[in-house]
Amino acid sequence: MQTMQIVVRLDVMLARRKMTSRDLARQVGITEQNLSLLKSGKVKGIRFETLARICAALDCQPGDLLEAVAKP
Amino acid sequence: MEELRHLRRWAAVLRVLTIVAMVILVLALVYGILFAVLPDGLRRAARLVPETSLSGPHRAAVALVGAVPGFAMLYVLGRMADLFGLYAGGEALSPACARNIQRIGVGLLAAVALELVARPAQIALVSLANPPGQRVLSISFEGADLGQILAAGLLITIGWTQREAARIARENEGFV
Repeated sequence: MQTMQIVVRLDVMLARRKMTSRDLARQVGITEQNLSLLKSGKVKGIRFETLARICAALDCQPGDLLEAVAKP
Repeated sequence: MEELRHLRRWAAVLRVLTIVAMVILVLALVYGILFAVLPDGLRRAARLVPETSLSGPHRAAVALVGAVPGFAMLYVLGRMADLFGLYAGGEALSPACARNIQRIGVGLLAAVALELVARPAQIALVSLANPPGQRVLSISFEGADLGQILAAGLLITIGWTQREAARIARENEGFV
């Protein structure tokens, strides 16, 4: 079975919505540092609660933010 | 957040008390070894003839043997001060806290074990002042010893669970 990894496409959605990381962090209620870690994929996971708040702020679905790609 | 603030304040107070207890214990150990008289209980246990008195070095040796469990307690207090210091610094669920809790448990266990050995050794040492044939070796185990063993076991177990809690807390930090 092919090994997959989850890639966070938050940058793309932020650009589409013309929103800054700072604004999103404020709306979601997390620190900019944590949002930066999330964007760079340097987190172990994301809570459903945080994901739901990001989706609400960006008016999108979880599938718009997360993508499963084959590990190189 | 409020609870963490309470913990930090409470731990800071306990740390000071623990350090004060350490100082008192050191002074008591030094005084006991250098100046204290032989306790009546020990004289009775060793069946020492009332008019017999021990020489200074003999009495100091008895006190030194009796002080050995006190050194283990000093170690326990040291680890407690470290633990309270970590709590006061806001570190509640860390491997360092778990390690300290386990060491406190091990220290208490060592203190009981040393107490069990030191007591008979003291009696035997005191009874050396008796004429040959009247020397005593007495081994005893008290309810308080069992209580201390159980408390030590409890702390060692809590230390293990704390390690697991620290691992989960670290894992949780990786989530946003």
